[in-house]
Amino acid sequence: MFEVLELNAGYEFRNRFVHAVRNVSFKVEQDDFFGIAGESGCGKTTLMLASLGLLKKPGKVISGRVLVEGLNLLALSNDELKKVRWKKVSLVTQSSMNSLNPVMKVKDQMADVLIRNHGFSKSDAYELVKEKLKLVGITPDRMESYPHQLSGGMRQRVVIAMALLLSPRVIFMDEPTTALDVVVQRSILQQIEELKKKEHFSIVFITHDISLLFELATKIAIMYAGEFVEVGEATLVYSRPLHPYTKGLIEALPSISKDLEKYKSIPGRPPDLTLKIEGCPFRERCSFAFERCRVEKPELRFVNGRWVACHLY
Amino acid sequence: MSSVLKVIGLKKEFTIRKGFKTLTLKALRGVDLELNENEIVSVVGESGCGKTTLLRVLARLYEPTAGKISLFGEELPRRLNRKEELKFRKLVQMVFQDPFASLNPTKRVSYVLKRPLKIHRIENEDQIMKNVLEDVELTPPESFLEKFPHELSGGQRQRVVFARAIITKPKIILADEPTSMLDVSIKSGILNLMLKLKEEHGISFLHVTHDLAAAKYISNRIVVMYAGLIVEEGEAKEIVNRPMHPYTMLLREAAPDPEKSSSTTLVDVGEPPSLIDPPLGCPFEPRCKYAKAECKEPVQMREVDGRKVRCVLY
Repeated sequence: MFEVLELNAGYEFRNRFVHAVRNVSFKVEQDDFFGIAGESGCGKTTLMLASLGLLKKPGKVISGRVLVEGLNLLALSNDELKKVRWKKVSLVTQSSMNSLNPVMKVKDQMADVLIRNHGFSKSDAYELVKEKLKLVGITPDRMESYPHQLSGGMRQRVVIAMALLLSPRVIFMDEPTTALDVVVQRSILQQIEELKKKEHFSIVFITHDISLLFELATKIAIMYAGEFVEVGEATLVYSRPLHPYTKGLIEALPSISKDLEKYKSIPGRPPDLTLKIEGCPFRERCSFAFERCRVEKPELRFVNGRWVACHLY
Repeated sequence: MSSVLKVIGLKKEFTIRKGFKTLTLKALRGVDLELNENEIVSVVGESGCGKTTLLRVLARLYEPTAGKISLFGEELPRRLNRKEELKFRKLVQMVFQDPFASLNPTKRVSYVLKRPLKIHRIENEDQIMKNVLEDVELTPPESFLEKFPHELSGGQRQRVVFARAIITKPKIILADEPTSMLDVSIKSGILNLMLKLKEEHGISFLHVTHDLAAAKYISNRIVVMYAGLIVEEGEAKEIVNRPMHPYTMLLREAAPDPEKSSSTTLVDVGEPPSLIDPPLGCPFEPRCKYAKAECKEPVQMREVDGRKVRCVLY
């Protein structure tokens, strides 16, 4: 349904190139909840922007294809993209406070895209906006509000309703709940899950909060230094992680229900993405690293029911 | 255990002007709290519950409206002269949420660390600076002294902030969400550092956070705040494993947990009450599924099984 093939993207400056997404491929099927987790600076947001054709200068897609129902998004012109966006794929951004226009009424900014790019009349557009707002639990009288009159949770719901407007098949969510309190976060996530069941869309969920991701996602990809290092069923990856980085992340995670006496952080920091990485990108922080990791770059291989890029297996 | 910091009936009100009206926002509505020697106490709650205000009042950044604060059994007067103020600052230090914002980007680490030593007239600067950098596990110290904050990673920056805090040998550190801006892989490193500083330097921490899992890991006791009041207080693991107050239960349910079968659904509607005109009785009453008629009346803290709960159910 939604497929990214060997995508390479990054940011181009006068004298250097930050290679933020390195040869990433993944596939999202019907009803998937696909989670992408990684530390800040690992390229997860770049991956999302690049696969939606939203990467702006100095960002640049070098190679790769993004297929939505057979259509290559990256080969489309701007006008063609406008027709596809919101209809086939849509996006829920990180902080709703910044993604809503503060001087536009909720109904107007939601209807804008419908009227401008999808040929709706004003009254039809408002009607649809009303219906979608109801879906996320916002009463129609809130349509007349400005963003500052809504609470943080409600604003985030408006952004979700906006993403649902044209019933897309795939919705990207980039840290949709990080700016919110735990209780509000939980109620929004529950709503997303209910909507997903009702409306049958797939979700690509990007976050650094892995404990949340392991709980919600059906499939999970762990991203490190621009690459996927482990991809598989979330429950399997959580219960039996194979890649040392995944293991490290799970051991570094204070858990609320387990009574572990010691959590360890992963020493060191991710490599500089402007440089060409020889061998395994994780080797300097890895306690299992051996000679081969220095010279040969591990490829993703299918081991014990999931894909992992590590020489240990 | 002797108490290093004790707070009784602490209140803090802010006045806000709205047009011609002047409103009072009651951020803290009578907080009693005790921090013992060699102890980490975490204050958890949602944003707006008053946890940061509490910390700032204790750090003497805000003046309390009412209430008593005592340090090592001695009551702190409202006004301190310069010498007393310095002595207070030496014993009580603060660590902030955002290490990107709390270090001056134009100064080197050595300058950041030297400032408190100059202000408090502590001698043997170079040796002390090296020692604290080693204490916060930034080794070798020589390589970090001449660095600028932008040359350090987030975790290293937060360690510099901790180094600056412990350089005056304080007894109390007030930590305002020290890990919330950090990545998962380094978060636990900072938590472990706090545990180490507690063990090896005998520093007590008042740690404000919204991360219940982190609070459970490092603290001896947890204090749950809601709408300017403490609603539950007790031993950390007990609070998380067996929450008693309905609000603590809600927090526990809402926290992300990979072990949880996702079938449990949370029934919650509503938001914390307005602090301008807070409800007379239990602040959680409008959201609580166990609410009864008597919840409309003010509810006192009561002791149940070795912990304190502000709820009529017990």
